[in-house]
Amino acid sequence: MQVTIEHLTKRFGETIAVNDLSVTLGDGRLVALLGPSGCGKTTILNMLSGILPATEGRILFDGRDVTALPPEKRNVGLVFQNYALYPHMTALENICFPLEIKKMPKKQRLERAAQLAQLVRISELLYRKPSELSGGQQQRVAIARALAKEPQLLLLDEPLSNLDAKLRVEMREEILRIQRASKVTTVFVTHDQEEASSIADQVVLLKQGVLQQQDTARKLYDEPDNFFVADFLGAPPINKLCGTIEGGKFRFRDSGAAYGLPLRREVADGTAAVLAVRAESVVVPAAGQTLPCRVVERYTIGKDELSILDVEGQRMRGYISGDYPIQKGDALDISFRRKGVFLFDAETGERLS
Amino acid sequence: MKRLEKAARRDRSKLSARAALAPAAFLAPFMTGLAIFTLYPFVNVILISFKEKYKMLTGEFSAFGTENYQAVLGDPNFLNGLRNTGLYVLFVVPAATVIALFLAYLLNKEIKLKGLFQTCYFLPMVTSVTAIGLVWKWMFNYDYGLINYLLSLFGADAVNWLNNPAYNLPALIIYGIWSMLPFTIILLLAGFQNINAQYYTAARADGAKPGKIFLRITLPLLAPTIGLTLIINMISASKVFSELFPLFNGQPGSAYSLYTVVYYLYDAFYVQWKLGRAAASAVILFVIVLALTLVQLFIQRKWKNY
Amino acid sequence: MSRTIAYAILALGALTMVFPFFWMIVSSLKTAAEVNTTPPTFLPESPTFDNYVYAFEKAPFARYFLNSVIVTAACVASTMFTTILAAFAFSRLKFPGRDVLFASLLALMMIPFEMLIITNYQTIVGWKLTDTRWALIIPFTSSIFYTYILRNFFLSIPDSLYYSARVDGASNWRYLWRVMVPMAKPALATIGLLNAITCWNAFLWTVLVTNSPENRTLPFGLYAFMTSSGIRYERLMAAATIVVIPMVILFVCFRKNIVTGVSRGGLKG
Repeated sequence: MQVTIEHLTKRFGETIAVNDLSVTLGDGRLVALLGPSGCGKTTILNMLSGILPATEGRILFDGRDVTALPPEKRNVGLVFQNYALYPHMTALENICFPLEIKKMPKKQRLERAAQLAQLVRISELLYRKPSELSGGQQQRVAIARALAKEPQLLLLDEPLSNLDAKLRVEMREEILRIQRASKVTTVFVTHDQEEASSIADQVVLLKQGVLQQQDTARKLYDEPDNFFVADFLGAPPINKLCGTIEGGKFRFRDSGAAYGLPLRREVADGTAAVLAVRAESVVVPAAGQTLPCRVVERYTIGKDELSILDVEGQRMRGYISGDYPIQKGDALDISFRRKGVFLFDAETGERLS
Repeated sequence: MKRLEKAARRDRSKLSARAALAPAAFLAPFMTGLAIFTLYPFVNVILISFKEKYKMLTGEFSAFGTENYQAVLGDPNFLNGLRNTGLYVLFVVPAATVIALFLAYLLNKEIKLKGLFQTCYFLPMVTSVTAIGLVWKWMFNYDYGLINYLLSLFGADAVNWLNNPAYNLPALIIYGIWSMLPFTIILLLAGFQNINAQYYTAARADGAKPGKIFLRITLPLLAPTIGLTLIINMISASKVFSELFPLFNGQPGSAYSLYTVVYYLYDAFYVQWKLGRAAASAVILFVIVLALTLVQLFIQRKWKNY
Repeated sequence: MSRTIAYAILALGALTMVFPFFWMIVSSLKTAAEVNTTPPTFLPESPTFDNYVYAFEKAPFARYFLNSVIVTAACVASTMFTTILAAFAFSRLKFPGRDVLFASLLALMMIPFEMLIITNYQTIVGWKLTDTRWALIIPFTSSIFYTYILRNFFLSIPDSLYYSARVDGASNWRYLWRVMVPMAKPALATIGLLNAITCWNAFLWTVLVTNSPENRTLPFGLYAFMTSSGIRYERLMAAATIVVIPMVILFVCFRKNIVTGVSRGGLKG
């Protein structure tokens, strides 16, 4: 099912949690609502489920306006951060509960529950109470319960944040697998860019209730619309080198050294700008435009060496291949690749290159 | 499109109407009972207390005034009731609290058979005042009662607890202390259990002796609970009534000497059918309880930061 | 204080508390002659159940017992019903003035019941319910105190359960009975027990509104037994035992529930 959000706004008294959001969530996609805490992503989820009424705007499910419909009439499945399993019911009873409300005959209910249990791989745990299940298992039961009534839309609120690090990687792959198998349009909320990038088909990035960019994770990473997007995605965080625009070129703040990038438009001289460079975009040995730098520190991270470099008096991180031997204190020339290097207006965050 | 929007708006207004009805529906049974049997009688009894020459069956009265209050406050039986109730509170509450404090302190320790002890101590709380009062009547019996027998073992003379007016109040007080203990112990025990064990460990590490710990750590930390317990017990003791029935065959003591405030209320209402007086004494009872409750709230607020 | 002394004092105290119960049962098993002997015997010489037989045959204690069971069950059931609904409204539903209303209800808790009997009696008379079991049930269907306890328990149930259920299509009503009530079993047990104890032992109101033996409950029956048949302590003790034993059994089985309920009630949270 395709979800269309049109000019959606939510106000709580004076504060605006979601501001004029318009976005389309593709049919059968796994969509991530991504953003730092307080960006309004859970509010959007709650408006999608119908728990919260929208202040303005519309929500359309396959073109049908559901903005005024109460939760029970929207046919959505919802999984909470704390899973919200009914503690007095077994896993099986939890999964069957929505079906019981739908007055599905018992036999069918049990069949459906067995199918779902198989899908989320908890068949052998059906008779346990939530308190006897691990976090990951509770998560699976919660997803099965949400899928039980064959929702058109599955909503997951921070589905991985209550799990420990190792389980998190495993569960996110599970979510992807289950989503692919059930083919239900799925929206999950997360503040972890890695989580969003790794499994989502579509990432909707928000900041303080305002949409920043929405696209595939790759597109967001490679072609950020603004500084916030570039900065929010990627680990280690993108390098930020400060300076100004002079004569159509970026000039470093202290040294005045120039670095040229094709600009999208005319930019006035003296505009404060940020040269944002991904760590993996550092190239050694240098070719083309070169910049002299000094190695401040270096760490081994798996196959690569992550070095802290001093470039024109500013610090930045760069991956340097392990094949290229460098020492702390070495001076060397580097250059940047075209990909993963952006120029932003320092004040507005607008992308200039 | 237009039609859809209209439908959506209609849905929304229907929704809010239903949302407003839900609380009313859920509260209706509760509020109905409350309005008829608490709120209305509360207001009505205050009104009745000011109605002069009020007739129960017709609801007629001559005028509004304070005649009932003057009559009640001039009635020796009521003054006697106030005095007896006051004495009862004055003896029973402190005595029960001190004994309960001591027992709760022991019960809070690491002891074996905790369950058994708790069962024994708390048992009287769940039993009918009428039934167990009857047992006390039997134990207070002049000729064959157990208490006089025990006294005789110590060479004391038999006391005519229930038929000599001089001993009626003491008998009531002994029974009162016994029956107040379970509830008081429970409250104080909960208070003891709320004290963080770290304080004790710290005090012991500082080399304080058990007696010192009790006086300097436990007692001050328990003070709010003790204060609260005292007030709650004072409120319940000032309503002393049901205990009189089994002990004195439904009379306020032998020779009508042991009126209490609530007994007076019962007597004026149900025996003499002087509703105005009964209402006035009920309002006076309420004022007493209200005053004690305000003290309780004050204590609770003052000690909240503990 | 040494451990031994502590135990000795506790044992002595426990004995004092339990002794009236022991004495009640012992006396109820004695014959008329043995009851009135000095010094008293601490165990009946030839235990007899005659006194119980007498209580059940001469005074209709079976009838009283049945009435007590009916009235208590009806009281508990109706109180539970209104309490559950009201606690749900005060914890889960949102409506303007909710918290102000609840606070004013709490203030009503300090009205002593004794103050209300006059008008309540008039109401019962007006409804022509005097000397019926209804009169013992209807005035007690709403309890602010129990609603208060249950509301606090309901408040501790996370909102996400409610929203899950709503998304799953459950109505308020259904959510209340299928999720909240089963989860609140411990709190409900406590409330039910306290309520049952209060109903079972109620005396003052019972004396006011019932009269005929057909409608008396046990405490009033016992009192009537005492005033009508003269003081025969062995019989009275048998009758008292009949009144007391069910609550003793209840207490022994559910001590923890009752004790926590009482301490919560006393200290208000």
